[in-house]
Amino acid sequence: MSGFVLKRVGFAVITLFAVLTIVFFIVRVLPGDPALVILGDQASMEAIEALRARLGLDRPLAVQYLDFLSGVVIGEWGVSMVSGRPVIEEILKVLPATIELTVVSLILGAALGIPLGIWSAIRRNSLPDYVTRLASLLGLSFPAFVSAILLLLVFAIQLRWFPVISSIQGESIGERLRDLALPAVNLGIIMAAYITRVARSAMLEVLNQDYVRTAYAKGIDFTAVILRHCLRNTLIPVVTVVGLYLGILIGNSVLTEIVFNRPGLGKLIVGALNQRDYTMLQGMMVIYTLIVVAVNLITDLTYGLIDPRIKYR
Amino acid sequence: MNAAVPGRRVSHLRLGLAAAARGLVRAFNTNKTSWVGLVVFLVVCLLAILAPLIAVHDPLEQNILFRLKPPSSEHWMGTDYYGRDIFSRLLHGARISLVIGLLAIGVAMIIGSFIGLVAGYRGGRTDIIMMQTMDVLLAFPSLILGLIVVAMLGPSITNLVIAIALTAIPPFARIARAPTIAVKEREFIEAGRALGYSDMRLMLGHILPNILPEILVMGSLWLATAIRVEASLAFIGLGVAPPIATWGGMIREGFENILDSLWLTLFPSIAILVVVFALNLLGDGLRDAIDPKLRGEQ
Repeated sequence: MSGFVLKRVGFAVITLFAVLTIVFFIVRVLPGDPALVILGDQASMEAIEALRARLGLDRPLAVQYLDFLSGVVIGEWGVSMVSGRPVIEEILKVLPATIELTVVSLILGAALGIPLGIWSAIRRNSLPDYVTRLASLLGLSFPAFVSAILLLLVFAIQLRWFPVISSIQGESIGERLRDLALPAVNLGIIMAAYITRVARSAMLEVLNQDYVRTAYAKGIDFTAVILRHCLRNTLIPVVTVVGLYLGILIGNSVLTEIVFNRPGLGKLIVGALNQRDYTMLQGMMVIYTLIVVAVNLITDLTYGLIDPRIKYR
Repeated sequence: MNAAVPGRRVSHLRLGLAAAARGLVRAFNTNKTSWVGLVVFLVVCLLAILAPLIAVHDPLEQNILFRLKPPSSEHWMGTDYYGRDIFSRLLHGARISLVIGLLAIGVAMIIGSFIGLVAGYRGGRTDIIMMQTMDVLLAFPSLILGLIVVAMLGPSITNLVIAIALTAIPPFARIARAPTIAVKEREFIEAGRALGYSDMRLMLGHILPNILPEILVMGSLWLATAIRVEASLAFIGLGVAPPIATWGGMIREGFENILDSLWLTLFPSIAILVVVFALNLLGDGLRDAIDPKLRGEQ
């Protein structure tokens, strides 16, 4: 077990290192001098040089690279070019809101998607199966901002059940939930569409296995076979996919936060893009990388828990 | 399938492509929903190509007197904040979405498949390094990657194509690699090698046609994703610069007037949904037919 964990952690560290290197070079090597972009075409050479020195852009690339890596490790991510506050502070301020949104929607997606996918697989090629498959395909065809606008129109503007602009300033738990509801439902339904499809295909494969036939032959009743023999084996691909779809979830959370005007990483990154806040952008990429690598590591370790066979490979 | 008759020059590529085409036609016929997807998609393509003929109004022509008018017989889908005809903008926006989507997926398909072919064919260290790189690229959220690339390079059609293609390369590398490993052990590859064919010729002329159906099916699914990503970037404000009409950009503009002028957001939203859903229907049905084991995954 410890060997398995060590190997996974080691792999995560290598991936982290690789992506951070890419992030560093994307910010540095892509055309466009940040100093020139910030100050504009009219700026004097001296001003540009001064800003370059302040940002550390005048030093050799290798030195900047080592500085960047050590900075990531010790939590010195630089200072926002716009607000002047430390990047890491700004990120940590809104990170809980984004995590809250994504975790709740993921739970929602799993709670909706797994039973639906299993049900659809059991009733294969029946009307409910077709409807579920078509509905889930439609669900993942929705760009997140289109579905968000739709929810906003119906439930916030027409029915007035929820606030049009969500915030996380809500004091009571009730208020917070009201703010969270629509964005989480938006993301949750899209996640459910993906999860339903994977759960269905995984379940179909499990239902064909010999041990399922054996279980029936022994006289175990249907519900027990599904719950005790099939469910656990169905969950492995579902967990993998949740890890793989993290990228989609993050992208959709950005769009959702913009539509609902909800504080979070999404609004932060769009603000940084509009204001050309390079240090902030770099910090955002670092935090996304950390999240992605961490979630993939958790996914890998979860397999070990669900499926004991994987540990010994 | 690619039986080479000694002493006769047979175009292996043509034989292979014919087999690939037969495979696709068979797949279409096993899953009828694919036809629905294909027909809808082709109709949208036709509307986009004929846009200048169908659209009676200039998509860029402003008319202050006709600002924010609801749908009427003169303007079928109403007018926007600047009095521009929504229907005309929608048709011209389709061109942008389709051109960017098709180019980006075309580029990603060629580069990604080539990487997958080489990785699968060579095996060993080349395989490990290439696929690890792909996995790292795959790990990064594609919308964020696209966002940053477009923000740094500037929003033009070329840069959007680069950004979207970059995020779509890894899946094509993966989908091309797996069947390559299986196909390269087949006898006709060994025969080709015995005849002294170069690796490149074997890969492109003999293995590629065999794995082409899988790649094309993947292409239709990723075209759906590409169109969705382009619209998302445009909605964030990183689409092809205004006043050129893009679906995502129209929704972005319409969102500001959503309370009193619903049609501004409604029609482009429906357009995106129809195209993406049609492509997903097409690709999903075909994939089921080609590989029943993959049912339901994306």
